[in-house]
Formats: sequence, C-alpha cells, structure tokens
Amino acid sequence: MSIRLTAEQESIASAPVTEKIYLSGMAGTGKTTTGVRRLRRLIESGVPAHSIMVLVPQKRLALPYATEIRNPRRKAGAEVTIATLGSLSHNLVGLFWPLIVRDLSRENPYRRLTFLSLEMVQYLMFKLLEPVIERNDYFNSVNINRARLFSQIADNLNKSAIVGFPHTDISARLKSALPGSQESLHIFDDAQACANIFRDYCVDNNLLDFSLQLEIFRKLWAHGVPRAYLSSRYKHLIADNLEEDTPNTHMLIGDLLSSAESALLISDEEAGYRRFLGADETSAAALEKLCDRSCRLIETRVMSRSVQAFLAELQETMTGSENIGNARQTGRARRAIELTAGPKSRFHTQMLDWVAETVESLINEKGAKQGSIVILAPLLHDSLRFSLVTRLEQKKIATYTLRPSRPLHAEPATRALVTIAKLAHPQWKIGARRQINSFDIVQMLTCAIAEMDLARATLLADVLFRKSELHPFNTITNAEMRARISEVFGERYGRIFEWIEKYKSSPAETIDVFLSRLFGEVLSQSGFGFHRDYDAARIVSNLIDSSRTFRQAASQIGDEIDIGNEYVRMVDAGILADQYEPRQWRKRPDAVLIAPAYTFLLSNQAVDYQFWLNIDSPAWSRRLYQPLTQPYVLSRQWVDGDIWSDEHERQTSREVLYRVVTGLVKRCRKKIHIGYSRFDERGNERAGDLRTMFDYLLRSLPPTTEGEEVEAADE
Amino acid sequence: MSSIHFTPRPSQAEILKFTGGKMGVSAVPGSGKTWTLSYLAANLVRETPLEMDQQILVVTLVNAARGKFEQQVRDFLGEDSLGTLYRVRTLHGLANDIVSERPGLVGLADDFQIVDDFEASDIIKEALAAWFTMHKDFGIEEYLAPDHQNNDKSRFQWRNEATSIAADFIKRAKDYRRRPEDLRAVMAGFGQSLPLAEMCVHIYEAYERGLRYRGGVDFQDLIRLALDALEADPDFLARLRRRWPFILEDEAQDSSKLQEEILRMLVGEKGNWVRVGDPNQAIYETFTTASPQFLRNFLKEPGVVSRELPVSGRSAPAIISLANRLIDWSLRHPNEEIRSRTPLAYPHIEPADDNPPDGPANVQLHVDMKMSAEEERIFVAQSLKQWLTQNADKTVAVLLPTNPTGAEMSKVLAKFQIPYIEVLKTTTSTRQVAGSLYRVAGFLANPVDSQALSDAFVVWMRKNRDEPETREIAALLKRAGRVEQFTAPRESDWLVDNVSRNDFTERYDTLSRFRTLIRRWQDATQLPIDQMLLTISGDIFHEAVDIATAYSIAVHMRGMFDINPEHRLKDCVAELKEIALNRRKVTGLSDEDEQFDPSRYKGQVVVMTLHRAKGLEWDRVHLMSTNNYDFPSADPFDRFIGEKYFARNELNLSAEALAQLRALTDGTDYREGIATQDARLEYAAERLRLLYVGFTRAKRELVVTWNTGKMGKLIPAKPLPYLNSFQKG
Repeated sequence: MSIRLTAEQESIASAPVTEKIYLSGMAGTGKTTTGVRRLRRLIESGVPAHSIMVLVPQKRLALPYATEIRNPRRKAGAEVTIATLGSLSHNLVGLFWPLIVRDLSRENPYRRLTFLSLEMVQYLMFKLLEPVIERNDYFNSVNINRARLFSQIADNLNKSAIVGFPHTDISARLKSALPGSQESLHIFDDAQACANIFRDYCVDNNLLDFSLQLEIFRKLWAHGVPRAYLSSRYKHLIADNLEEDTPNTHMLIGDLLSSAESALLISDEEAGYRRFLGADETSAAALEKLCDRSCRLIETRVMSRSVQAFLAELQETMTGSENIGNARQTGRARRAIELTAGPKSRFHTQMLDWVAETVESLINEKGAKQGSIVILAPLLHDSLRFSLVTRLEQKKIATYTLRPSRPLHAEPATRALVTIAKLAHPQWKIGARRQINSFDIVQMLTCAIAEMDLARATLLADVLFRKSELHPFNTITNAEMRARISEVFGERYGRIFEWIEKYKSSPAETIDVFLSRLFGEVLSQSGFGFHRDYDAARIVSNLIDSSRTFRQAASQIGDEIDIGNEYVRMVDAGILADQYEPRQWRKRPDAVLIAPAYTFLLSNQAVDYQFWLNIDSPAWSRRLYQPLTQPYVLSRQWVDGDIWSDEHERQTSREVLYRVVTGLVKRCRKKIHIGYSRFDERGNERAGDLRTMFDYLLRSLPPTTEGEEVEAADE
Repeated sequence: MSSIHFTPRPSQAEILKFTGGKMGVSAVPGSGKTWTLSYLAANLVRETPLEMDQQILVVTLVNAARGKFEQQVRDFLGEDSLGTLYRVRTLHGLANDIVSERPGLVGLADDFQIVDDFEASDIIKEALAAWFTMHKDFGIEEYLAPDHQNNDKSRFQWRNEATSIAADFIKRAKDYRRRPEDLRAVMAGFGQSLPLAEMCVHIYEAYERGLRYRGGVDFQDLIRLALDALEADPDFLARLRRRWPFILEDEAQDSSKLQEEILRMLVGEKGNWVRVGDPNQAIYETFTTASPQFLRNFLKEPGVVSRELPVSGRSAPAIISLANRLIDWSLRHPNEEIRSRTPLAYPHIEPADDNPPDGPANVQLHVDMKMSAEEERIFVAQSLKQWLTQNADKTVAVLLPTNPTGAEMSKVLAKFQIPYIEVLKTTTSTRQVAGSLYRVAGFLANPVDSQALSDAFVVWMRKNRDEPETREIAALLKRAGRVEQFTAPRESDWLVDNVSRNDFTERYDTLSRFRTLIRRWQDATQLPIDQMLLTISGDIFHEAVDIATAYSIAVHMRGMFDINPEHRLKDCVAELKEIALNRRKVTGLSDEDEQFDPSRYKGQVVVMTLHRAKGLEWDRVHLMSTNNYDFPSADPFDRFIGEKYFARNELNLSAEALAQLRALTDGTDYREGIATQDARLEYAAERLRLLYVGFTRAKRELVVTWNTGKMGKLIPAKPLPYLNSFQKG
C-alpha cells in the first residue's frame, strides 16, 4: 500500500533530477517516506538504477529503501547500491589498495589483505595483548573484564580513524581532557601502548580492523582515483539519517556532491543516538550549505493529539520551555500515558505480568494489532526478554526481538558440535576447566539424537563416557541397561561413535570442514537431532562461517597453532561466536516487538502502543561509561584544552534522556504504558532520572476528565 | 494525607523542630527514634521546596531497617506518587549509587559487578591454595602451638583460618585506603619481620587481580570508591550536595570512619545533617573501623545541636530497670581496662507513661540453671510450647548470638512442632524458594533417580504436601525403578502400568500433568541457566514474592555462570543448595528481608541473631547462650572466638595480622600479643552492648538462659549473677 504524500513531501520526491535537497524534520514527519518515494521517482524518470547510491549509517536503516528496490512492480535491470561507510570503504580498499602499498607491511607489502571481523579483533587482542598486560601489570587500577577492555582499545582506534586524528594521540587527548591524578591517568598510557602494539601488528601483517580499513580508505580517498571512480559511477545520491553517521561519511558525501547530478540528504532533528559510536550531527548539518535548497517537515504523521500534548509537557518539564499547546489545562496529555497499576508495582516480575495483561487487553479488547505494539527497555537482558516472551506466549501472543541474536556459543547446537569436536580431537591438549564432563555428553546426546530424553542420555553418559572418551554401545553387557536405553537409541549413539572413531583414524580436517562433515554426514540425517531442523541448520551454518573466517585469518597470521583447537578454545571462552547479527532485521506485523529502546529508535518505525519498562533504571539517561575511552572527548567537536567536567556529565545525561524519550514519543501514535516497580530484577531499589521526571510530571498534570475520555476514543 | 497517626512526645517534638543545620540525637532503645526520624523526613519532604532533581536523603545501616524506614516515610506522606522526593539508602547502597553515577571516575565500567562475600572468599581461598603450594610450611612454626605443629588436623585448620585472616586484613587495608602495592613497598623497607602481613599482602595482590579479571568490586571497595569519586571531582560532589539538601542518618553509632567521611563530605560545611544513634547499641565494631566514639564526638562538635531521646515506652518497667542495671554494672566493670572503654554509658532509659505493665513474668533470669546447649534448647522449646497455648496473639522471639546456633534451635522447634520463622542469613521464604528450585534442578541433574523425582513432585505439590494423596503419589514415584519409563515412555509406560486411569482418574491426571511439566523442564536444561530457572519457577511458584525471589536467584545464577563459563547444571544445583541451607546470602525480596515486622508473626516463634534483632521488639524474648564464651569479660579463664585452639600463646591471629597492618600503615613497631589482648577487651565491651540490645528487645517478658558449651565448662556471663541478685533482692 502506498502512503499518500503531503504536497511538501511530493514536491521533494518529484523535484528535478538535477536538484540537491537538504531535508530535515523531527521523527515521524515522513522524511524517509519522502526519501523512498524520491528513489522511486528517480527510477521512474529514467535515471539508471546503477547510478543511484543510497547511503545510510547502518544497514538496518536501509530497510525501507531495500523494500522499495525489491518491489515486484519495478522493472528488472541494474541495481541501486545501498551502502554504509563500512561496506563502501571495504570495497574500495579491496579494489585500490595497491595504490598505497607503502603504508602497509614493509616486509611483504603485496601480501593479501585480510579484513578482520569484530570477533577476530577480540581474538587477536587477546592473543597479542594478554601477555603484555600481565608482564607490565597494565590496567592495575581498572576493574573491567578482558572482553570489555579489548573492545575499548578497539573503540579508541576506531574513534581516531573516524574523527581523523593519529591513533598515537589517543592517550594525550584523553589525559588532557579528563580530570584525575597522574596515578589514575596512567591507564590511558597503558591503553595507548596496547593500541600501538595492535596497530603495528596489523600493519605488519596486512590485517585490517575497522580502524585501519578507514585510515587506508582515507588515504586512498586523498589519492583521487577511488574518488573519481565513485564520482563517475554514482550521480544520484540519497543519504538518510545523516545525523547518525560519522564525519568521514559526511566528508565523502561532501566530495561526491560536487559531481553528483542530484541528491537528497535527510537528517533527523533531536536524534543523534549513535554519538557514542562517533556520529556527528554538526558535520552532518554542515552539508546543508552544499545543497541547492533546504526543506523542513514539521507536521507529525504519527502522534495523536494527546501524544502530542504529552510530548509538549515532557519538553517543558525537561527543558523548562513554555508549553506551546497549553495542553495542561485540558488534561489531554495525561491520557497519553498509563502507569503500572499500584498493586502490580512492587516487584519487577509483577510489572512484567502487568505488561503481558495489558498487551492482551489491548489486543483482545481494544482490537490493537500485535505489530502495533512495542515493549522497550533501556537494556534487554536475556532473562528479561525470556520472561516477557514466555508470559506473552502463554497468552498466545507472538513476539519477535530486535537485537543481536543469542551468542552462538550459548546455542545447544553449537555446544553439541563443540563437544563432538573435542571428542574427535584427543590430540588437543584441553585444560582441566574446559574438559568435557558427563553433563556435556548428556546435552550433546539430547541435542544430537532425535527424540532422545534426558534420562536415557544420562544413562548412556554414565555407562559409556569414561576417561574423557566414548565407548561403543556393544560394550554394555547388562541386558537391563541396554533395554532401558533402548536399541534404537543405542544404534544412533553407535553411528555417532563410529563416525568419531573413523574421523580419529584419518588425518584431521580443518575445523570448518570437520563441522560441515559432522553436520552433513551425521547430524542432519534422519534419526538425528538436526534433521529438518532449520533453526539448528542456520546456527551450524553461522558456526561454520565463523570457523572458516577464523581459520583464514589465523592462517594469515601464520602462527604455529592448531587452528581447530584454538577456535574451540575461543568459542568456549565466549570470545568467538559471541555476537551474531541476524541476517535480516525484518518487521513482523503479526507479532509484538520487544527491543532495547535505542534499537527501536534506529529501526525506522512508529507504533500505536509503547511500553517503557524499568523506568527506574539509570540506563535510560546514562551514556556508556567506559574507563578507557570517552566518546565525547574523542569526538570531532571536542575543543582542545577543554576539561570534561561534571557539568558536561550532567548535561550529557539530560540530553541523552531527552533525546531518547522525545524520540520514542514521536514514534508513538496512541499511548505509552510506563512500567515501574519498586524493586528491580535483582531486588535493588534504583532511582533513575526517568522515574524522577515522571514523578515530577505526574504531580503537575491534571487528571483526565470524562469528556476527554470520549474525545480520546475519537482520536 | 498521612495514613498513620503519630503524636510525638516532648523530647521527640524537640527534634521535629529541626529546620536546618547539624543535629545529633542520642536515643535509648524503644525511644521511637525511627518514627521520629521518618516523621521528620516526611515533614521535610512536605515543607522544603525541592526541585526535580532534589531529594531528602535518609541513610540507614542495614537493609532491614531501610525497608521499614521507607515504608514509614511513605505512610507519613500518604501520597500515591513514585516517591522520588526522598531516598532511603543503606550506606552501602548510597556508596553504590555514587559509584554507579560516575564509574569512570574510579576506573570502572558502567556494568561493574559487585562480588559478594562468598565469591570474595572463593578468590581468597584460590590465592591461598597457591600460596601454600609455594610455602608449604608457612606459619606452622611461627604461629602453631608446639603440640599442634605436627598435627594434620591443626595444620589443616590453620590453612582454613588463613582465609578469614586474609579476608579481615584485606577489608581493613581497604578501610585504610591502602592498595596492596603501597603495602608491598612499605614492607620492603620495614625493619621488622611481619609474617602474617607478608602472606596477607600477597593474597591481597592476588585478590585484587581476581577482582579486576571479573570486572568486579567488593562491598568494601564500594565505600572506598565512593569516597574516591567524591574527592576526584569537586563538581560532582557539589552536584550531590545540591541533590541532597538534607541528610538524615539512623544508627549513626555503627558508622565506620569511611562511612562517616562520605556523609561528612556530602553534607559539607553548610549542609543539613541529623544523626541519630545510641552509642550503647554499637555492635558492629569488632574487625571494623566503626566506633560509637564517632557519634559521641559529633555530639560535642561546635555548631552541632545535641538532643536526647531518653524516654522509652517499649518495655515493662522491670525490663527497663534490668537494662539500666546493666549500664550501672558496666560502669563499675571489675576489669579496669574494659571499664575504661565505657562499653555502656548513661543516660538511663526513662519509662514513659504507657509502657507495658509490670508483672511477675517480666524478667526471668535462669542464672542458676546449668544446662548443656541441647538441654537449653529443649528447655526453651518446652517453655515456648506452653506459653504459646495462651498467647497465640502475642509476638515472641528467640535471639541467639550466631547463625549456626539459630539453625540448631529451629531444628528443635520443628521437633516440638512449634510454629516458627527463621530469619538468619537468608530468610525462610528465600530459602524455601531456593530449596524448591534445588529439588527440581537436582532432579534434572540426576534424571534417573526416583527419589529426586519424588522430591520434585512434592515441590510441585507443596501447597498440598501434607495431604495423604500427595504422600502416596510421592511414595509411588520413589519406588519407580526406571524413571525414564515415566518421564519419557517408549516400549512401556510406567504411569499406565502403575496407575489405573479408571480407578484413580484424579491421580492419573495429576501424574500426567506432572510428566508434561518434567518434559518441559528437561527441555529447558538446554537453555541458559537463568532461563531454565525461570521456566521452572513459572511452573511451581504462584505468589508474587516467590516469583520475584526466584527471578532474583536466576539473575544471580546467570551472573555466576557468565563469570565461570565452565559451570554446568550441577554447579547450579550446588549453589541452590548453599542458599537453601543458609550458607549463602542472596538478596531476598520477601517482607522478612526488606522490612521485618514482628507483629505479622503473632503466635509464631521468630528465630534470629541478636545482631539482626536490633530495632525490633517482641512481647516475649528468649535470650539464649548468655555464657562467658558468647559474652566474655576477659577473665583469664575466658575463651575467645578469635583465639583458635591450635594457635601459639592463645594468639588471636586475625587481630595480630591487623596489628601488623597497622604497623605498616602507621610506621610504628609491632609487638606480638598486644593486639590479642586488645581484641579481648574490645570484644568483651561490644558483647556487653549486645546483651543490652538483647534485653531491650522485650516488651513484656524477657527470659534469659545460658549453657555450659561443648566442653561443659562455661559459666553464666559475668553480669548475670549480679543482675540476678538484684532481681531477687
């Protein structure tokens, strides 16, 4: 179904193909809809699709454009390019790197480039830096786990590349801006030393993490050839969510604009949710003057009148500005929100019950569509998601989640494969902590053998798993035991056992081939756990991909390690196969969405009903705190010589909260349900800024009158 | 509108006139200090023009008091709001708030973990194991008595004891704000050999590495880091000062030096601070830097308005009189060194005009009854059994010096079929939730065990656990040899074979439903541990508090599994067992945890430690184990908990280790034995205060008994004969 555009939107979508337009407006005013329609009009007007590039900060934000491109009514032909800075730089570096070989490995400059995934960066850091940290007693005043520590070092490198300062200046920048004693600031020197070691190693071995990829890209860009290549290829540019992109992207857009025939640059007001990742609204806004004209959409296409009134109240409370709509006197704003009922607000779990009951009533009594409801929390932990999903499932309400999927290493299918891999490779010297135990075998058997139950798997493991290895089923001489296990399961167990034994007697395969064979030859066959189990197949496929990438990168490093063993060790440690992005972030109209608030904000959609959970959580208003990095100090807008003060901190908190809550309200059509409980999930009483703000607001809002209830029904 | 009525006494009304500045209040037990302070907090909330980010801050010592306080302020305000105009925190909670607000200031990420005492102890044990591998005979010659040096049991005990020595040392070093590397540097140039300090500094280093690796901090760190954060950024401090224009502090006598410093910084020169406490009830001094002297000093500071709450309407006059006699006796304590420490001081408690009436049963001091520990328990149980028959509408508590003795007493009460509620490390309901999860998870870890199957069934049916049908089914399941034929039948189905669907339709249906659940739980073993526990708890718990507690346990378990990726189901079962057996503390959510109200347990016996009983009151109180071991007077024949049987010269090794630490931090000489003697005196003084706390919990009846201990040699606590003669006289 096609949305009818306003005259203003239409004038932008149908603007001449020679015009460059800068479009701004708050969320919900139809900017992306206009952008998508512009894309359609460009193609309809005969612009070759291959000359159009849609640039977004992250792939998820391109979904409306991708849907338009896949539109079956569209004629077949060349494709529009949808790109992010990451994909663009990856492609260009891959194409043009020989132009700048002098900046790469001195010893072997023409050695193939290897692009490192995030998990490979973690692995490499773990391998390279762990001994250095131990030896030098680095970070002895910082209490964070290793995974977080390495991700901050990587983050600092990325920031230097995104903002464009030498990576060797990270420590100096942080130290000059952050208050603290010399003693406490030495951690930045430690972080700098680690970053330097990592960068040198990458350069020496032609390994590109995101930061090095960007640096090389920038150098290539300066070289001119790649720029000319892009300029000649893409004549029409649509860039959406500019405010969420980095200065590098803005620089690239700026350069492309000069040779482009048309452009539509779209920016959201009061957003900037990716600042901690280097997003820069100021450099985005600077692009406005390079365009032929600017437009601003003002009218919301989403919020009802009561939600608009509530937004005005919120803005007044949070900024001290005048209430433009004067909604207070009418009590309309109060109608846009509903708070957890008193008796349901003691425990966290009661609040979850309230959510499920309210969702049910919205669907069954008010006729709300499942896809028009979203449940949001500042942080969506597994336990919270699971508890919500099970409560809603019991009420026969489907849900889906927008967030990185469960780590591969937590999936039963992965654990079963890892257990078999360990059994099949006795030559791996596995430490005591990671050795297979009886319960691993039980879990592997219940997962790998179809219909296997926990009791019989336990009997099998009790009898046939000894001295870290499996034994054949026919060694069970006790007839009763054989009967208890059953011959059917005995036979299936035997096939796994024999496959392992056969594998052990032949030369070892690479880990990805091993996993592929195990899946293909045994586990996907009839009688085994993954037979026609497409979820498991997807997980195994991801695992095989991950292991292959690891093998390729690890062999590039050329260490004397058993790559398979190393891979399994890293999976066990939760370093590899940790975060897996789902292949597609697809909206589902038939299910309630459960998502972290930020993810929802960056998912380009509005809904009728929102639930905000845990309003007492400080995470609603808190920037990410990491002791080794500081996104604001490392941003392009930071002025040299300034000191990061508590006032900055306070201002940032206010701004974070303001942007998140107003951003959410702007994406809500009818009502916001506020979830509150005195005790959080761990039994603590928190007092976050959002709860304080609501407390203050509720005390000042007049209640809704009967007449207004009737009016509400009309909205 | 306030939902409760409070008419202040004149001395209370004086305090309620407070509008600003600094005030110190010395209160006696039962003087209504919590009521007064919460009323004052409510008044300040109403009368102070607070901005959106401002709050009245109330600080308490322990969580149980916090919940009670919070409720009272809420009741006094009588508003149906989100309650953000006031904040009631324990000192640790406050420190956590401060650190969490600016974790980067003190080298933490925003998701830092708080490592609890149990895990902290594990890290220390691991480090000590490594230490003793390298130094096999460490400390044997230096610290074990000659006849214990070759005794394997004593050597083993010494290594065990080293854990608590190191834990105390680390806690104290953190209280002094000394890092291990500082101590290491001082020790290198220190002229004397300090073996205990050497071991402890080494363990401290390893411990800190362990915390760093986990991205965690311990409870002690929270206080230290909060102070660091306040010192690191004056703007941050100024912001917090603005946020909390009034700070009200309860139980101020138990604040440690660092805790007092945090509050002092938050208040600042011109801030408003009301501190209420009773130096006679300071019972957290041993092995901490807390001291009632801090409050006494505060009361004398220039600019501080000093007030008293000397009137108590709690106890019958005879009980008040007994408590006052104890003060008198302590002021004339036969041991001069204890006397000089003023364990208890004036003012005497003054009765109000509405105290419970005098009666013959007000004070029952069984000083002349010599009993073994078991005999004492039986005596008390019998006494309670009889008393409860006529006083089902009254409240009663059995107060003991330690958690293990409390657990022993509970067993005897159960044997006598006396209704009781145990509030020890964790509350009964938290433990029941953990116990239920333990049974089910235990079965999942051992799914071929019919006894475990039967136990899981009883958990599921626990509301009807005493029904004959439940027992019969449980017995039937226990006899099921091949569990898999019930849980996952293939060739034959145990249920069909053993329960006739026609004759026992209800039983068949019950078991059929149970089987469906078991399959669900078995499938859940493939899920992450928290989700498995949540699945089970969704099926077996129906009360909001149980579900919330189970959630809290599940989150706790997930945290444990995240830190220890090698953990499996059996580790979860072991942990649940620890919680269920009261060896492990988790945050509980039930009313007993959050705001224990004795009046909710009329006709039931509350079993509690004396420490936990502070702030509470019952119609009748049994004070047990009042012998010269639990309440010593530093007589030559007294034995002290801190002095281990295997230690040379009756040294208190923890106290000696702390003295060695003190030498390092102050640069003074260390002389062996002085700290042991000092610890005796300090402990004896504190235990007198504990006895005073015990006496003053009783409203109408106080029953005091003692026992002769394991070796049968203990005698009544020293003040008891005096009090007894006074009582008889």
